Amino acid sequence: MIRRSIAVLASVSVPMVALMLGGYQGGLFAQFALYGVATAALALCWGFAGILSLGHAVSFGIGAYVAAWCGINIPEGGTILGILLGGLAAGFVSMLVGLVGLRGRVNVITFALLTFVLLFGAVEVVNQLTPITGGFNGLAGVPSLNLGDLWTADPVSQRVIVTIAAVGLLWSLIVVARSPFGGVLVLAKTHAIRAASSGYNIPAFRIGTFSFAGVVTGLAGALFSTQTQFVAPDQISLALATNFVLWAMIGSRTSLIGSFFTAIVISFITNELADRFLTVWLLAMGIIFIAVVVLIPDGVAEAVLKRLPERWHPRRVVTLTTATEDTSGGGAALEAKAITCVFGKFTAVDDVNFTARGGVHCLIGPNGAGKSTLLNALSGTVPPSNGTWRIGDTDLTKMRPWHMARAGVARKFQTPAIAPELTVAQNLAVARMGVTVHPLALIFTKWRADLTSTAWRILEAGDLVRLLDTPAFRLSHGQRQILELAMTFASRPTLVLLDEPTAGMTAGETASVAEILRTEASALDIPIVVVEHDMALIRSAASAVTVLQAGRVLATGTVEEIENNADVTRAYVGEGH
Amino acid sequence: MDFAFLVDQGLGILATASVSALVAMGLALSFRLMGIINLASGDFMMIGAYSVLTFVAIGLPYVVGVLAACVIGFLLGALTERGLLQRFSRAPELAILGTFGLGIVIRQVVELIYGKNFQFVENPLPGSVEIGGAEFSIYRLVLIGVSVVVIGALLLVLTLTPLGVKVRAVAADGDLAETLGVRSRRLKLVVFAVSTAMASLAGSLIAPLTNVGPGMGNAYLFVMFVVVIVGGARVSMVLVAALAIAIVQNVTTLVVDSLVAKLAILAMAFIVLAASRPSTKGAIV
Repeated sequence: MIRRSIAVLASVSVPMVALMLGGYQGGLFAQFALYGVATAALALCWGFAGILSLGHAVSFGIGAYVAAWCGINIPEGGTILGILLGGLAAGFVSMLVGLVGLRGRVNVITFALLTFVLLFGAVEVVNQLTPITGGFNGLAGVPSLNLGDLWTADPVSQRVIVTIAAVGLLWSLIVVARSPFGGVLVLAKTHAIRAASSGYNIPAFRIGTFSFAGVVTGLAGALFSTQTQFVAPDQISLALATNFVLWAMIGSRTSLIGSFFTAIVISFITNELADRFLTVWLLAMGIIFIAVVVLIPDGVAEAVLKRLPERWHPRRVVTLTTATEDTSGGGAALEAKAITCVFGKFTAVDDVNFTARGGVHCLIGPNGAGKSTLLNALSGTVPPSNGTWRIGDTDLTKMRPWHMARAGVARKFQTPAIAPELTVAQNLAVARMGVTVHPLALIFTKWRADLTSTAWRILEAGDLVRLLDTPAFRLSHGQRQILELAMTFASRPTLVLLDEPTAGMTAGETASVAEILRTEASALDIPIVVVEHDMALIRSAASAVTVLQAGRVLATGTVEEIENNADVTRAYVGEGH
Repeated sequence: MDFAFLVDQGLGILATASVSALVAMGLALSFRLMGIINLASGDFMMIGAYSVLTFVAIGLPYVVGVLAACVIGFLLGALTERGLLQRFSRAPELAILGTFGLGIVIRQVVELIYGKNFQFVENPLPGSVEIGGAEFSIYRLVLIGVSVVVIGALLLVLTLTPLGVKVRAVAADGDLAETLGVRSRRLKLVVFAVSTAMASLAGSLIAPLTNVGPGMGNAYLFVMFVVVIVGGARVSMVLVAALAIAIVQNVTTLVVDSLVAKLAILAMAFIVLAASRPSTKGAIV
């Protein structure tokens, strides 16, 4: 409640500042608030989704030029139309860039370069397409906000409306960042495959976020042109793009509010100093840039928050409940046929056939036998070169990881894949909502999820229930393993694929997990495929064991059969035993 | 279209390609090894151009200026790697932002010392020769020759000496390579310094052909970065990309104009990225 009142108070006071400052300063304030919005949009992409754009000024400039052109050339309602078109055009260009650069595994550096060269191209277009853009001179005489003949804003209402719009746009960004949607972005930033295996189409999430940031930035640029009544190549320049990155970095890219206010404050300082000491100012900016990168790479807001007592900025509280048990389903077997994974000249998995029925099915074998590769293939994260597999009547062969998650396939990775910046409860909620909530609805839903009783039992076994509101980066390795295991069982699965789930756990934790897996598999009658080296766990939990060697199936059987199999002994300890 | 015209255009393309290949090859090497791109490459080119300008102005031969450019580029690069980049071996995006800030500092310091105005370096080899009926500037021929020799020498070093294997080992896993006796930190230092030395060399070579000014580097960045996007981190692909982009750029400039040429190579970057497989190993995200 207090948080909300502060938020409302802050939202109202920002336009009040624009009103109270004099004409000149107030106008500047409105302009800089729009820079702040663009900076916050960049921070959403960079700090939350992990996408750095060095060409963020392109979106801002497109918005500004489209709105200016429409405002000048369309007399009736051109301004409003131009603002809307400006936002759309910027979003459209961002979407194209995203479709090219954010489809697969994203290399931050390549994407940053792509946006950088796009900026160079856009600068050329603006400077040379003189008939439309006015070239170096830009476009003068852009009308202020108006509804044709009905109404034209006077300077005071102009800057107040612009500032209110800026606050509104900032809020839209904050809503996305703080919603479970933002949580998915944060999880995908550190562990994209984990997020995809939780039911989220991660490329779509990234492209969507980048496009949305483009729309917001374009709208900010469009409003900017009505405020300055002038648009120039400055609005699509390298300098502006540099500033956006610098402001977001100084203010904290993980804090949209921090980025917003940093942009405003530094813009005012620049405005005071730049004209008087241009060369020295640019030099100082370069030095500040390097200093920030080296000294406070996380930004001022993060540095301040770290020093404040926790009760001043409580972590988001997530409502976690227990799902009503659904005992139907189960009983389906995993049938894999001729799975083959070839990387270049190396065949990691060679024509593997196996069937896993309800129960814990362990995959064992020497290092390099192809166990993890097989699991990656079955979970769709690294599609195999050949082979088909199904669970019951559901063909999984061509499914993407997020489709598989929605079909009930749950996956745990070898090293704990969690979002360190989110709390334990947020991690669990994100893992659950991939199956229950529509991606776009994630923006508007509350942080609330119902976990299976299995997930709760796992959390209890690892004593994590009392740590639900702790940020996950404080957890030990073993606790992270427990957390990810609980995330794997957040929804009721039809097939579970676990890669060395107990590595890093204590003997006690391993025993509890083995017990939970065994009872879970038999109670639900689902296959739980486990890659494991720990014989204690295998003996206590496994109902079947498949031994892989050099990418091929060496033997399949019960634990006893495998332990007495001469071929298997030979594979592990060599000849003569 | 006669033969002389083709020769003239062909040599022009080679001249463009050899300059961008010099810089882009260094970029690709450091991209491969350290996962970063030096956003100040254009400013290292500018440093090379100003080195030549300064040494020629005090009466030393042109060649001395070019050699000095290489040495200065190497030393500044080594300093940058030690002082700035080594802190960010786990955060490549901060490293490239560091080079971005460095670029601004270099530009402004040069502007404080030399002023903002364009300066000119006299062509040390004026005149032209006739090749296949076309008159072609001697200096440009030398530029092509020097670039080819430098690039060839580097390729030989990378393929024939153990250094190439070490580069590949460090690129695959720096920590692992270190345990096998490769001094990966020193290797990264050397490779980055070589990449800035090559940028500086390229800048010193183009100095007589262009306006020398503090902001001159930005004009070249665009093409360099498109070359790296198209070619990726593989040195051989970068050379092919440099040539392909030079062809598109020169031909489009000739047939249409320079704006369309820029947009054409921008489109190339997008098309190549869009057409390439999402990832090398087929992983989805």
